[in-house]
Amino acid sequence: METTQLVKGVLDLAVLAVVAQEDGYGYDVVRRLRAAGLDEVGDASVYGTLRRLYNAGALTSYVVPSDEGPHRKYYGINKQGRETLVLQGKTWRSFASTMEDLLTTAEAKA
Amino acid sequence: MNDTTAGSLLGLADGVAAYVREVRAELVDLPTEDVDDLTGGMEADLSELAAECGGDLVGRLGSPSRYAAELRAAAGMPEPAAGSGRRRRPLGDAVSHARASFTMLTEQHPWLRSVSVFLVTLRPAWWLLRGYLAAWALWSILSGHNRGVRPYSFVHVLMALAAIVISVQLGRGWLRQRALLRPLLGIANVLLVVGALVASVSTHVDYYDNSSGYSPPGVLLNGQQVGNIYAYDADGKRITGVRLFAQDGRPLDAELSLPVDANGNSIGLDVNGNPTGVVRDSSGAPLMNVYPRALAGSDPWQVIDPANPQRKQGAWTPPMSIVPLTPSPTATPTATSPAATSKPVLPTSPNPSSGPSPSVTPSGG
Repeated sequence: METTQLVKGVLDLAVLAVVAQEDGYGYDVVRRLRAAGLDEVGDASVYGTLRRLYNAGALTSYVVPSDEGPHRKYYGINKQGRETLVLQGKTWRSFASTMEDLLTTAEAKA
Repeated sequence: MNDTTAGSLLGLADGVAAYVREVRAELVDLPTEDVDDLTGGMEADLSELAAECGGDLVGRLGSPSRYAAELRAAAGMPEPAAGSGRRRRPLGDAVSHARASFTMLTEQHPWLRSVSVFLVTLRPAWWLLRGYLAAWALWSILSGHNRGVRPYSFVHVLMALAAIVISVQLGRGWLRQRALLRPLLGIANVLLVVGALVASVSTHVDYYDNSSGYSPPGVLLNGQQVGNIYAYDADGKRITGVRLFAQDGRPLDAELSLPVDANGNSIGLDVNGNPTGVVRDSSGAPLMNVYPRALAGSDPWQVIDPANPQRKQGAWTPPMSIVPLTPSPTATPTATSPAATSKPVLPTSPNPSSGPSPSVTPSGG
């Protein structure tokens, strides 16, 4: 099974979870997702997701100026984001447990 | 980060800026605010990524167009409408690929980066040169031939000035907003440089042709210097003390080539280094058009000093007499002086009219 396809479906949730731990800029979020084990995540997908969540009002954004080089754009989670995280987290857990039961039953019969 | 040279960091920044530019260009169909939103902070993030992966952004992220498509999809932005926005640009992709590869190369060889920084500082000089070359190409085309790179009229100077102004303005970014025209400028640059190289080679050939007409001084026979002249009258007898002039009155002064002895020293020089055998006028000035010229010793008919062993085998010796002209002339050959061994003293003036008239006139045809 293509992990890439699975990641696409849960990327919003994964990004929200990472940013909920600590504010981060785009590449920082990418790195933390990979460190968590989501190797398949694409850089541009994370950037696009961050931007979409921000536009949807789930994230805050602020710019940190840099003396040398371009400015960094940080994202942080807000109240609406946390609510989304909880809600989507429940959906995922229920979905995951459904899948788990399904697979356990099938494997027991095999 | 260790103290990798500032040059390689600059190189990374260039590669990153180019990548971001390409991505933004892929998103031109979106509202500017959206593009700014999507790519804001991207440069800083990509710089970090580039520093990690050695500048190979394309290898790590894929082409800018792929990156832009992924970004667009993840952000929930609409796909570019067919026919609008940016179409596939294989040339542009290749250029950004080449840029990324170069950045990676400068990572491995920092001196390359130094060279490229040095060349970039020379850009204004290139703009000047390009303007001048363009003007030169224009006036060469208009006149139909290449007369070298120097302007040969006031109009050409004006053309050169105008072309230089245009070239510098182009260099300062006249076309930056007209992406379609930039490849044309690149092609024009290449054509100018190639044209200048070709033309300079052909000009060089022209100069070479001209210079092949070099001729040695003195009297020439088939391009080779004549060292002495032996004259015979119509009866085939030797004439000594002949003065020769060209059709315009110039004396036929042969180059003096003295024979050398076994040690390579010239024979026939007096203690002051002056040639002994040269005939002088009453004031002592040498007369170089008197023939035969005594090169060694005092006998002008003696081709070489018999004491000199350097005489070449098979060298020509002027005979005492040659076959007379037919029909035999009636004139008396008074010029064959028996006193051939004495130095003849001749008048100062080289003017043929005042010189001694040849006493022998070949009457035959």
